[in-house]
Amino acid sequence: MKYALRALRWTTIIFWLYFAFLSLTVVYSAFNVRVETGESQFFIEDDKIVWAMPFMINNAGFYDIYDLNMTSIVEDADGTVLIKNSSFNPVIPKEKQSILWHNVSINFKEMPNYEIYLTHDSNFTVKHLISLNYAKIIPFSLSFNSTMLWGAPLYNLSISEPTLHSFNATHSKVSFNVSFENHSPYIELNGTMEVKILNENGEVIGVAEESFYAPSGSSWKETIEILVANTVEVTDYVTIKATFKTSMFSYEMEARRRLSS
Amino acid sequence: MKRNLARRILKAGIKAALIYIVYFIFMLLIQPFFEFIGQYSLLIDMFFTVLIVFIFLTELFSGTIIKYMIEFSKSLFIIFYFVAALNSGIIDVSMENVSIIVNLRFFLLMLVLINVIGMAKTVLSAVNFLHEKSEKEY
Repeated sequence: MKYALRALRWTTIIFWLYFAFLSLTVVYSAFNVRVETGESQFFIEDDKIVWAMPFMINNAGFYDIYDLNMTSIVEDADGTVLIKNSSFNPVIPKEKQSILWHNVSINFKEMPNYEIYLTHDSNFTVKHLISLNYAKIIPFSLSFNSTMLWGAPLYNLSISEPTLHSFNATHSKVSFNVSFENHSPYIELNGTMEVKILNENGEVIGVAEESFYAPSGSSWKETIEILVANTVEVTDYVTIKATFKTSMFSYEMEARRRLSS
Repeated sequence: MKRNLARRILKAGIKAALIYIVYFIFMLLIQPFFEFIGQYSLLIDMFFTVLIVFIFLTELFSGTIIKYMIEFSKSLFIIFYFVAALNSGIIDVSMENVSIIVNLRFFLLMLVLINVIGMAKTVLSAVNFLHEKSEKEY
């Protein structure tokens, strides 16, 4: 009995010492982990806008950091997930420094109903989730929200009432204005605009193509002039289809207008 | 007999005072983080108060079977206290729009294990105590 008691007593003491040692070193090490954020960078890569954030993690503690995962979720006002990006680092060894680049890329083609955000300003909620497993014994997660103001690159896109003028014996000229404001602080618009005019029978009566360039925060306005053959039927009302094509998106606007002469 | 009781009370008082000093140092150490763990201050106070009472009673009733009952209760209390206070090992703290979740199940498991071993030791000690007592009587 006495031996069993002695064994249990020593087991308890050893366990308490191990517990105390582990608790103290883990707390001490956790407070020695330094995280610094570098300067964020915005750039356009192929067909997406990339927001790259560098994180310098200095693990000066006694334990490794495992499964470091950073996730950013961009949601619209209704809570619909527009963008989700994750960065992962399997291990940051003790007494080592590591740089983790967390990229949030906005690809319009992957966003649900992205057309709305091309013409309407909005407030997005950005949810940041950071999770890691410290020393393989303490899973830890941190989450916080921030608000991101979204400026529409084709804000207030409008097509004015077209007017019809006679040009020469064989052709007439339809002219109208197309305008928008680039509210986006990130996107520099550079692309082409294809314009088609259709009569009430759905027949294409005129086509034009214009290039456009609108830096961030600028307004763009252009008078479009399209020659229409006198042989085609020009109705009182016409449909103007304008398709904006850039490397990031393609957007089509359709407007039914009364043709004045 | 009276002298023995007085000595036990004195010993119990000293042990309780030592625990109180530990509590005092602990509160000083956590002072910088009080903003985050301030909501748990009542739980911490309660833990140390109950611990002081248990230690005082254990010393007071040393040499009797009641001592082992108190020690057993103390281990049981520590297990239930930590399971409840650590929310089964998942600490969830929210401040404004920041939320932190820490999983301390490993530490909770260790605490439970240590106290279960402590309970087993107390039971064996009680059996040993009764055995020695009966041997002395005969």
